Amino acid sequence: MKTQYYTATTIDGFIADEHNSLDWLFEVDQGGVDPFSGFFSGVGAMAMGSTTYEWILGHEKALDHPEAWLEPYGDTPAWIFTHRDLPVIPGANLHFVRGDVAPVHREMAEAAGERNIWIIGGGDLAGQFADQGLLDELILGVTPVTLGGGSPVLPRRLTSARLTLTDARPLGQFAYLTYSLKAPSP
Amino acid sequence: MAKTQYYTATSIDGFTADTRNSLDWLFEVDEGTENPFGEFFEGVGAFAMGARTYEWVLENDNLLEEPQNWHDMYGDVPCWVFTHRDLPPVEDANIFMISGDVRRVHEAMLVAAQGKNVWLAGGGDLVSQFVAEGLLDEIILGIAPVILGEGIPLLRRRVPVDDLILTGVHEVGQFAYLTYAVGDVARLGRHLAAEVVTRIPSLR
Repeated sequence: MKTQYYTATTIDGFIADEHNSLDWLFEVDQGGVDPFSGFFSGVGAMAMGSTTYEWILGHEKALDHPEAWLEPYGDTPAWIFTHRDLPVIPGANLHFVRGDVAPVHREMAEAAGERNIWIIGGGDLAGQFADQGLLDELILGVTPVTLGGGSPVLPRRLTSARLTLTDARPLGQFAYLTYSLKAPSP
Repeated sequence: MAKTQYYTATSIDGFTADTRNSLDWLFEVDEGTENPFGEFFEGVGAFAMGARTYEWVLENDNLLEEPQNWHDMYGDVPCWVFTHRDLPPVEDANIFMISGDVRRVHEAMLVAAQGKNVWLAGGGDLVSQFVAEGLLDEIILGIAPVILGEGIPLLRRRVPVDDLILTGVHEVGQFAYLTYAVGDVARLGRHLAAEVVTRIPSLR
């Protein structure tokens, strides 16, 4: 079982632009290959921040069209980190939580069993898992775009003492980079 | 055809130096046994850098006391340093201190390069001016397995997907090398790819 941060990012390390838009991402040629479905078949639990959840609500209109959630994610349990009351997508297996990621990670690991935990984003939430040594892998789909500003992929300092490149490959116009991540030294 | 290339090392999150203008995070990374920069530099006939990059090279390679280090790295290949300040020259190095319009300097560089490539060594601000003028043909990034969170950005501009095309992905030691064609070259590449797809029925 691994905890993985799998996300698309720009060449300059942003996962969304200043307007929290992903339009730049959807213009990119996938090359007819969708690595996501292979990745997701290994996922047993997932987590996201409130901005990411609200993006799905807003962009995918998931309250009126719950299939926008149910088709990709089925009943895979998702933990949403938020300090606010957020509307619930009908039929989705959601847990709203706040605070320290460590106890939530234990709960997620129990639910995932042998399968992996996917941190969807944003960057700061992934950073909170990394801070506590709870993140094992980064999988970045680098898109051929620079934004010059936006939401950072991982607002932390992690040197090569903690990160190891394990794979680099092109898929269509995406460059997929995979890194294993060591826990911080005590 | 000669190209104008931005070749740089960068962190995963797109910084070419940290907030202290330090590259210590870069030098501890395993480079493997290949020497992609040496190979790259053989094709270079002229290069340019900004003032901060120049100052960093001066200090890092101790060039004021050991000017020979410049020659060991760059030989007699002419270098243009963009600066509004007076910077100390490296003894006997083929360096031009200039300021102002990148387009005119670029024309001079192409002439000096004599058919070889023009290398933009950085930083991101200077390269962004070349991008704005449509003068950049290729970006070659050696991505170190490091996330900095903050620092000097590799570019300060939005370059849309229509202007970039991924042309290479290679692992060299712990570095991931990504190569992109930029601007007209990228658009031409897309155009040709679309032509191929139209002509070969099985690709439709």
